[in-house]
Order: sequence, then structure tokens, then C-alpha cells
Amino acid sequence: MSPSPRARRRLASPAVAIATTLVALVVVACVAAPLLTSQDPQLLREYLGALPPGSSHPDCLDHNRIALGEAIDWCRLPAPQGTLSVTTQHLSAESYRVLVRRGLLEIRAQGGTRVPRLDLSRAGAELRAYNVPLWSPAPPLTLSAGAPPPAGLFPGAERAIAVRIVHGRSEDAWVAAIQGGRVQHLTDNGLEITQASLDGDAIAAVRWADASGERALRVRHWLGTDLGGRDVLSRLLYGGRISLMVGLVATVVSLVIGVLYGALSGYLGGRCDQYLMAGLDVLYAIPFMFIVILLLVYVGNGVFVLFVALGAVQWLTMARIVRGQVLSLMSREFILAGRALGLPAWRIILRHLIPNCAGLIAVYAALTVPAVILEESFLSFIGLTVQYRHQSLESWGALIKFGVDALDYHTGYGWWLLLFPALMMVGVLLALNLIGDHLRDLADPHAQPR
Amino acid sequence: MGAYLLRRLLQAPLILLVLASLSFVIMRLAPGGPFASERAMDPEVARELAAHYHLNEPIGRQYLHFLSGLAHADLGMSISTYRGQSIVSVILRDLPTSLLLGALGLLLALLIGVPAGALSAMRPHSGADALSMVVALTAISLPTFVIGPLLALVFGLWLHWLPIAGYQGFSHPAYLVLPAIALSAPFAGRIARLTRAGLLDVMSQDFVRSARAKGASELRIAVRHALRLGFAPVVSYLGPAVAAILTGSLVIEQVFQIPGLGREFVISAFNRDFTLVMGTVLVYGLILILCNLLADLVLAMLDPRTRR
Repeated sequence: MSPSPRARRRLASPAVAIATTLVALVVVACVAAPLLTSQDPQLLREYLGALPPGSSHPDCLDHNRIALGEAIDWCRLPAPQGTLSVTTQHLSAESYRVLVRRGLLEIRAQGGTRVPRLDLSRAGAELRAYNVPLWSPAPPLTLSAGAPPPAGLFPGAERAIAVRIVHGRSEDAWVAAIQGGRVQHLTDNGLEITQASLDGDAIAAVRWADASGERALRVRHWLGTDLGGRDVLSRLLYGGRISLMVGLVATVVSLVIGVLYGALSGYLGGRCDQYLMAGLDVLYAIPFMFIVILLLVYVGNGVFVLFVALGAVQWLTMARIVRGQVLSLMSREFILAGRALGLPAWRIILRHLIPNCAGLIAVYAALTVPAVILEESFLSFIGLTVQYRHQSLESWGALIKFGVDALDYHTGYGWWLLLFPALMMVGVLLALNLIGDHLRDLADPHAQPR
Repeated sequence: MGAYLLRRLLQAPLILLVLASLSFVIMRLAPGGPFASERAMDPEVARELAAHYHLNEPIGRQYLHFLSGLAHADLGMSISTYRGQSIVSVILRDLPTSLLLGALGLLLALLIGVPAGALSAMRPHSGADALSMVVALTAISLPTFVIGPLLALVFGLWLHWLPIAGYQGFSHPAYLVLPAIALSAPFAGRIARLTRAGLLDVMSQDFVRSARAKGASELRIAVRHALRLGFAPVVSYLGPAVAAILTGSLVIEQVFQIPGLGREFVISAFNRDFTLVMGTVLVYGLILILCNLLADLVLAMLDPRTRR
């Protein structure tokens, strides 16, 4: 069957072409995530906090140590020979609470003592609204007790903010001479030592000197970092793997159940068909997401439970469509011939009926994928993240949840944590829906959108 | 048609039974009870608590006990979330909020979706049609939990038009505006698409051509002849839409911190509060069945062909 001229024109629709390209790009990027980003999506760097897109920081891991004779595996060194110098800072923070009482400011230090003035223009001043976990840089202001609050700092009437002023103190500089990938010589501020540990201190700078000269080792986070200092770009790509995999596998599960049920119902016909369809009617009327949530809470939110649960939600429409198609095929000559030849039922269903529904099945499978991805994100959002071997597999839905939680509603700080996962997910879902719609229009111009 | 509606009506208890039994089996067959996560408990106390809630009996007996309670409309007491309060009282407290939110969401979806779809269908393949269909598809692809915070950010914080979150009772309807919009967006999109498809389908049918031939004006054709049938797909979608709005409200109530039944369900599911979970699930099932029946009825009124 060759497509009609009209269908051919619609095949070339630019929107669908863009959508297909987008989906293909995202799929390739997610599958090839390790090649695109060297960052580990699980790696916590709590001292970094949430950095805006494009920021960079010294390229070393937190919580690690240098020791004589040992290999350094926590810095991505370009060559096995040279001198590594690491500057660390001990951090300390003063914290204050600023509230508005009867329209006037009140400033209290830790322990409740009143403070007359607070200078936010100093380096390291950060603030956040209460109940918001994200610290954002403070505007350059001086707050005075008893004065009216400055515009923009307190969007609500009676609110409180927390202020933190972070100081870096007593810099340490470790210099390690490395040969053959191992530490041969180690000094701390010029004194020889055998080992040093980076226990939670912030790393201020990492420099590397070898035959080609000296340079600073930095790593850039193109989409910023999250509250735990994890790279957003790599989390997005690895999260995409989870979302897409769930979408694909759950769709296959729904396909298997729905196609078999529908084909069987259509093949048997008569009373059996009536009962099977009445059963389908009953299942249609059940709010299945509630059952899925219960399954995930009680049976466990392992990845296989999720596949089966989401697949079990989605097979109903598939069963109906396949049954309708099979019913119309049952009166065709080739099926009659097969039955006259005495072929067994399973053979007719699997070899003759289902292949003849393939086009329709493919179309509805294409529309099921975005629906499943959306449902999985919904489950992630209410806290049912997929688990595999006691590890959370954070999908786009989980990332969006982190973004929503982290967004500072007063200053808008942390927008990248919500924006990028949301854009990614919406873009892919929109594209998948466009493609699915288009396929359905090609297969059956009279079908109505779901 | 009467026979069909009667069959649907007779199906209702069966649906509730399947729903309740599924929930029961899932919750009771899994290890860990409602008291499992709490601090180490005196075994004597644990036994007594289990006996009080019939958790120590064999599973079949528990099921029978549960069914007999159900038949008497007795949902029991909350086990852990609101220890000692009856489920019915918890549901009665939270249901009105959720119902109001859901009804507002559905209403908004219809108010936005139907005119958008109708305008699209009046000028198919025009710029306005393409634009409204792209917006509709985007709304379908946007998870409600993305729309919600974005709305709160724009209208709550930047423009100060509406409160960001919380709920202050029926006397302060402003608190429900943003949640209702967020809840309705995907359904408005779907309804717009369905309206457009339904109207386009109807406009090409013979009876519309006859109406044109006898000289009826376009407006009269649209209102008197086409809209009735063109709405059929929208109305038959309302059943599934209610189901989706119910699940959507789980998230929206969490995002906007609205003390409704959806939040209650999520909390009680995590708390393993068997009775409260069962109560909320049954209420949701009941709402869904009622709305499905209502949709069937309206469908029969709109489209004479379904009155078999």
C-alpha cells in the first residue's frame, strides 16, 4: 500500500521532522551520556551547593586524601608526572535571622542576641527564605534594625529570612610531586608530611604543573549544579535513560497484554468476546493510578514492579483497538482459509491476526510511550522514585521534583534546577505526541485524538 | 438505552468490589504493618494493637471482616495517621475541598477547551487553528507539577495577584484559582482537540449538508445541528478525564499544600494506614463511577444513535 499524495505531503510536515530529530537527538545523547559528560551524576559535592549554569570549580573531589606512595585517583590529571598543588579553605559561617515585626526590621544573631546592623555587601553573604533549602547570594544591602525593610527583600508582608555570611579562613596549600601516577613528595604549607586529608573543606584551587607548563584544573558545569553540588547536565542525561527506558519497557509490557487480550477476544467472538469486553469495561472504570501507587508502596518500587504496574495501566486501550481490528479481519478470506485448513488457534492469532494489526499496534504503542513517561514522572514526583538494587534511579520526574523543592520563590534563585529538566521532558513528550498523532493520522485519518 | 444504563448501574458495585479487593490484596499481602516503622514496641502492646485492628487473623478472615464492614458502610478507624478518628469523619472533612478543586478544574477545562476547539474547527488548517492545537498539545505534554510551580512563581510572586499556596476554606476561593488552573491545563488541551475533531467530523456529514441546503445560517447549523453530535467525543472523554483529574489532584494538592483527600491518600499509603487508604480509594472509585454514569446519560441525551 503506497501512501496517498496527501499522506506523502503530511509525511514531510516540518513539525514532525523537527520532532523526530529532537527525539533522536535526545535518545542518542542519553544513551551516549558517558561520552558527552565526564561528570558522575551521583557524585555529591555538598560544599559547592547549587551553582548557576556555566559556573566552574576546581576539579577535585571532596572528602579525600593525599598520601605518600599512593596513587591520586581523585583528580583527573592529564599526565602521570608533575606537581599538583591543592589549596583548601576552612569555612565558617555566621548566621542571622531577619524578620519584619510591625513593618520594621529585627535582626538576631545565633543565640537570639539583637544585632543593630547587618552588612550584606560583604563577600560570602547569602540568604534564603524559611522552608526553602536553597541559599542565594544576598543583594548588596545594609540592613538596620528598626528600619523599614528594603524593597525586594521581603516580597510578603510578615516574613522572615535567614542570612549566612561565610568566611574562608586559614588557607592550606598542599603540594604533591607525582611520578608515575604516585605521590613521591608531599608538603603542607612548606612542611613535609606523609598524608593529608581534605575532610569537608572547600577546595579553593587546584593547579597542575608538568613539562608543558602550569595551569589551573577546573571543571565547568554547563547547566549548573544542584543542592548537593551534582552536575545537572549529567543528571539530566542519565535521568533521560531512566525515563526513556521506563517508557519503552512499560509500553512493551502493555503491548503484550493488550494485544493478546484483544486478539483473543476478537478471535473467540460471541459470548466469550462479550464477557472479555465487559471485564475490560469494569477495568476501565477503576482509577488505576491509585492501585499502582499502592503496588509501589507495598510491594516495593523496584524497577520491574514499575514496568509491570505501568504496563498494566496502559493495555486497556490497546486491547480494545486490537479487538476491533481482529473482529474485522475474522471475516476475511485468508483467516477463513486458515480455519478451514484446521490451523490451531494460537497459530492463527500469532501468525495471521496480530501481524495484520501491526500498523495499528505500532501507532498506539507510539502514543503509549509519552503517556507512560508522564505517569512515571508523576510517581517520581510523589516520592516513588524507581529503585534498582537499593539505588534510586532518578528520572526526569525526580529531577523536576528536586527543582520544585529547591526553587527559591523569593529571588528565583535555583531556576535552572526546574527549568532544564522541565524543558527536556516537555520537549520530548511534545515531540513524541506529535509523532504519534501524525502516525495515527496516516494509519487512520478518521480516528479521533485521545 | 435504559438497559445499557441499567447494566452500567449494576456494574458499579462490581467495580467497587474489584477496586477494594485489589487494594486489600496488595496491602495485606505485603510485609510490614502500620506499626512496623515506629519505635521498638512492647510485644504485648503490638499484639493488642494487631488484635484491635484484626491484623492477627488469617488473611481470608480479615477479608471477610473487611467486606462485612464495607457492606455496612463502616470503613473503620484510622490506624496510624489519625489514630482513633473514624475514616468517615476524615473523609467528610477533606472531601469537600477536593471536590471543589476537582469540579473547578473540570469546569475550567471545559470553559477553555471547548471554545478553543470550536474556533479551531470553524477555521481548520488556518494559523489560529495550528496555534491553538500546538498550545493544546503542549498543555497535554506538560506535567501538572511543572505548571503549578510556574503559575505560583508568575502570578503569586512576581505579579502578587493570587496566593501562592495553602487553603483557607470556602470563604477564600482565591486560594483555589492557581491549583484549579494547573489541574485543568492538560484536560483543556485534550478537550480542545476532541472538540475540534468531533466538530470537523460532524460538519462533513449529510445532515449538515441538508441543513445548509435548506438555507440555515452557519451559526444555526453550528449551534442547532453540529454542536450536539460534535460534543459526543468530549462527553465520552469526561469519564476518563475525571479519573485523570482525581490522580492529578494527588500532585496538585501536594504542590499547593491543600489539605484534600489526595494528600490524605498519599500520606496514608506511605504510613501503611490500611483503613484510611481503603477509604480514600473507595471514595475516589465512587466518584469516578458516578461521573461515568453521568457521562453515559448525557451522551444518550446528545446522540440518539447511542440510545439502543
